Amino acid sequence: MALDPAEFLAHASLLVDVGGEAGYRSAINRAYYACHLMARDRLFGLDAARWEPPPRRPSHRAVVRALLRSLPVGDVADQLERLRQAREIADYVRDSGRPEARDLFRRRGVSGWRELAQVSLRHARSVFAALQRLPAEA
Amino acid sequence: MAKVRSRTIERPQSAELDDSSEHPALTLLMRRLAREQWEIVRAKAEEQGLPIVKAWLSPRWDTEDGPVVFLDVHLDCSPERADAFHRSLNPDRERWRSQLNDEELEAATWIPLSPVGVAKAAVNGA
Repeated sequence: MALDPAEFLAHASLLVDVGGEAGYRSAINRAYYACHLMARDRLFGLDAARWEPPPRRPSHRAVVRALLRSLPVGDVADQLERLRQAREIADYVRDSGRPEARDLFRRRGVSGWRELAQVSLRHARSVFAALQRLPAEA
Repeated sequence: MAKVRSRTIERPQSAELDDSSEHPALTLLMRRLAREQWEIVRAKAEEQGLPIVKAWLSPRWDTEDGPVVFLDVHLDCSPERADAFHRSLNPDRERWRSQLNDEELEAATWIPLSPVGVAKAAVNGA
């Protein structure tokens, strides 16, 4: 039985409610992966079974590239890229005072992890809904 | 008779794109395509009467060592209004993309647009 990526999105929401920096960062991670997995499997089948060459899976860039070729709505691909960047910094940059983190907050118009998690969750819901409308065989 | 002093609130009428970054991910091709996309954004913002506070390019290498150049745009509106503005750009951007060759299309894929509504007290969803 395959896990529904929507469960990751629901879990992201719970993590925002739990709060704390670890909770907010983890929420951003789960929100991004919910969308990434949904996009990947809509484009390439469950667990990217149609991706060539097997048994490798498409990179994050390959998913975004394929998405833009399949779905003529640039804002969805943009949102996925925004989530991806937020996820990378949330996962890998431990010091929130580092320029990458401070620059991301400034660019997204937020004051810190809590607001970034809330904004990311809002965008992830919108991306997820758009991806659900994408035909599975696209 | 008391003089009434007028107060001018500075707000850019026609924002300019800051593309001054020297980051190596911002190649000549990426810079040109970002500028073309910026013109679409600016025209649509003017058409909708949406003030642009600031716009700039944020280049980086992602974790797959690929270039990504965000076109960051801060708008004087609510976050929801900024999202609606983002969606409204789709037809014009798709028309623009359809005119690009393969090399340009690949480069344009990595110039995501990031509009953000930064108004602190929006009224009526403005």
